[in-house]
Amino acid sequence: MTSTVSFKEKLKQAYSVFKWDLKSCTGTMAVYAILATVFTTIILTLCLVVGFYSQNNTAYDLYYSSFSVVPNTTDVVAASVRFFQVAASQVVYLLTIIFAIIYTVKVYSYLHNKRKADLYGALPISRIMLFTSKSASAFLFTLVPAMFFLGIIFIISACLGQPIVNEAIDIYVKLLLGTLASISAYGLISVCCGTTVNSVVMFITVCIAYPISAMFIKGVANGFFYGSYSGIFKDHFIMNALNPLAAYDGINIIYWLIFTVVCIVASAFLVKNRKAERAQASFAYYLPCHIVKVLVAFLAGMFLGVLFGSLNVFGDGYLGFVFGFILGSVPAFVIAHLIFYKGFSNLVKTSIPLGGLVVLVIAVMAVCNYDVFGYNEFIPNFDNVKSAGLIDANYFYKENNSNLNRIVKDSAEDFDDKDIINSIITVHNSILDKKDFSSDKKFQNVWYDMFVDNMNIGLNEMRCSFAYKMNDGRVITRMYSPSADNLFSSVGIDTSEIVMTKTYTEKYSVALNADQNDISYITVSAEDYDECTLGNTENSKKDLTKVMEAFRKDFKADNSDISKVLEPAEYEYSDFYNYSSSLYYNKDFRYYKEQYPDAVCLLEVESVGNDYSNFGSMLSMIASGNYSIYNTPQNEVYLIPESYKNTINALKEIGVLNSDNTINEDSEYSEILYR
Amino acid sequence: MIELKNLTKRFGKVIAVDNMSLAINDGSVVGLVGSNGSGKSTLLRLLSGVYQPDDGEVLVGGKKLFDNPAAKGECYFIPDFPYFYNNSTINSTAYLYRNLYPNWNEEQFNRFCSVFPIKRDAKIINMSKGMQRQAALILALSTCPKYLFLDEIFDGLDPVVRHLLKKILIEQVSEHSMTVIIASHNLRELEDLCDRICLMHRGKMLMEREIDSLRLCFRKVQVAFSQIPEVPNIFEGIDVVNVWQNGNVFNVTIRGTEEDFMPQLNALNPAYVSAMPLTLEEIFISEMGEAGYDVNSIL
Repeated sequence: MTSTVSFKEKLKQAYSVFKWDLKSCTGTMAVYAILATVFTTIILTLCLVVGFYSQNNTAYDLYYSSFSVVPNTTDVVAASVRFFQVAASQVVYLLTIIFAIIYTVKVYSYLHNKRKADLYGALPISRIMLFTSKSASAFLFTLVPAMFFLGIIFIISACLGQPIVNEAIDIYVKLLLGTLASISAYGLISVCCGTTVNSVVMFITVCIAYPISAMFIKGVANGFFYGSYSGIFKDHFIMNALNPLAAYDGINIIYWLIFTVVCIVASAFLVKNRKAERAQASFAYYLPCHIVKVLVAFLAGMFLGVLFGSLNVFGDGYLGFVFGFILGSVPAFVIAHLIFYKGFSNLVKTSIPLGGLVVLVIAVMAVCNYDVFGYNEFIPNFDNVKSAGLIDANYFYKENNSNLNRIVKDSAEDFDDKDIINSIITVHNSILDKKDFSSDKKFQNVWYDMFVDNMNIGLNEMRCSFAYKMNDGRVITRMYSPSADNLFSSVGIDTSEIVMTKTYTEKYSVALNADQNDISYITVSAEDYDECTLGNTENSKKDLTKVMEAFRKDFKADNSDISKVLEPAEYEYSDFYNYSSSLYYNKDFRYYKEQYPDAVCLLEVESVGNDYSNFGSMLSMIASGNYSIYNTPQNEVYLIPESYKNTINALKEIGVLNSDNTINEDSEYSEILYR
Repeated sequence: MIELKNLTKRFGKVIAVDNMSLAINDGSVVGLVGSNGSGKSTLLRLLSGVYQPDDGEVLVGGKKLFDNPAAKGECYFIPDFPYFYNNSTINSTAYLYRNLYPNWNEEQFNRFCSVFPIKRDAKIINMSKGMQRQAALILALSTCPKYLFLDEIFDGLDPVVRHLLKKILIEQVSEHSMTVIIASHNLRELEDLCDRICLMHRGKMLMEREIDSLRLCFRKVQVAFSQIPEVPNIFEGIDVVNVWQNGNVFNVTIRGTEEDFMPQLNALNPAYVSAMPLTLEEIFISEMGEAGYDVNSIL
């Protein structure tokens, strides 16, 4: 026989618990309010005082440089207020995170104290409703005061005539997301743990150990499998999947929302059947404890293992790894056990996962180290390849939001010409010939590949992809990016034989593929060093579009030997790898005119340099997580012969060329360099 | 009515409550007595829904109690160490209970606040142990529970307050048919208050009986002989719980009434015989001795 309480009654009960918690947190909230008020006032005062009286202050220079604002007398106060917004919001953000930890630990401590368990266990409120109202308390105690103070900051700014800056608004999102994920994760851990100390230690351990362990796995995958591409980088949700503090970065919003819901649902399910007598015991549910112990053992083992592997201990990287892994993982596991269990009880019984971990890792690393499946040195047999493709990072354009994996896979059907396929295989071979596949090198690569996301990779490094469509229909791809052993050296692989083809140009050049808005300008040059540049103004965009459409029409219709048209591009390409930029400028239009009497002009096309428009920059951008560094434009130069009538006519119609195919000096686009 | 059906609660390898069955009628006051670690507090926590039974079930008023807010609303449990937050006062805690307990009675609350010598706005955590218990009692009684579970409630209360508490409990039982279960080692207080006693040892119920019938069941008999009868067993045929001999004088605890054993004792021609009822503490000690838990076996 059961009795029920109406939903309205349940809500009333939950609200009572919430208000009671609120009363018990009054003191803590008062401290938060005082600190937030004091800091906000201090920052406002300093900003205004500095704004009025110290216009040349270093801090302001920094601020201006960060916002790309040129300082002048009139906007100093405005800039001060904007600086106040950002600085005060950051302080409220940090204070909120600190107090969120205090509230959360306090709110969920009812699960970790026998006397509190008696009090709450006997109350006429369901366990799920009690947990939900406690969680709501933790969320609201954190968010409402923070929102209140951020609101005050914005009101002050508005009163001083300044709109809300984006950096300050971002803090709202970060705070909301971070609070939701962190509190729900801590709630789940609290339900599983028997003491507050274990909950806090476990939460911190997971937040630190998981991301570093993920970095090790990524480092091993990339370091040991040369040419693989996982697409998993620093900001990928996998890298921080169990680290809810990463939600405070404000990215991967969907993932963190799902994570929050999963944690809340799992907590509610577990709390309903949680044994109240487990308060003050080590754990109420042991699974998270086993997971954390294995995680800690894995991390310590990988650290020492990879270290000893890269130091070539015992003269063999793999043996060094095995020694280091066991040396790191076993003590770490025992220490974690001692902390969580407060003694050696059940150590042997709970060590089975450690045994499994050691065996698994040593086996997996053996497979990786000895390249059991021959991944690293695999190049398809020429006779088995139906078609192939190569993409050179330095000569590539694709529209925004392209999927890198998809592009590379699709490139497998680019060339079915046997000579080109042979060239692709030759280039592929030459890359592998230069690679050191020794065991210790692989372990050294792990360190680099772990942190590669955060490094500013030079774009001069060779980056290219290979794709093969086999006769049996399989598609095999390899993507090569810099690794530890060739980071600071030029690989110097010549791909021009593939890149400087009509097929490649049609698929991957800026001139043939870019959206008109992604072309920043085109420059037409002819004899006498005269040039006309289109694209600098909005009006010239229309003419630019007209010329590019005509060029594309001519290029596609051109069935003759296209090497003449591409020769300037090829020269620029080889010049790029030879590091002798001065050569390019010596080969002006007259050089080509001597070679090809039917040459009319040179057409230089430069892309906007959108982050996604270049294969190399796309890879680097994803890898770095910094979206502003790799804003590199791409230049292409084409020779326009007399047969490109559409292009020539278009240039004449817009007044760039005269009727005798010379540059019109009176054109609005004319830039006379020498006279 | 409270029903325990084959109730079992384990803490790892320890069986705190072992297959216990019991039925307690409404309006009765039951004393739970037993050795340390016998499972009294665990039983109260099972009764109040703090613990979930491993086997068997607890029905309070015909309802399963665990995680059942409606059933819990009619119960109140005061543990041996009641918890109060650092800044809790009687008033602030009453604020919570007012909305949680459906039978909360504001008049009763005000009345009990005035009856017990305690300040309702003072921080409970700063009060003495006895005053903290009074605070817990005020709050408990104000919820007008149908079932009240008290663990070592007399501990720390002064004689006046103990007397007051007993008076109030008796009043509540008689007027509102409240059922009270008290776990305590203070057998003297239980003797005054309870109408039934349950004796527990190692998670099992050794005995459960009306307190009056319990008193009638045992007699402390002093028998003196001018010459001790030369028979192998002097008290053969009498249900003797224990015997203590000092010369020609025997102090015997006998299970039964005078009608049961006097004829046999008189047949031994004693120089002197007197029989009187046992106190609850004496019954407890003698019963526990039978269960192997006495001073002699411990020492």
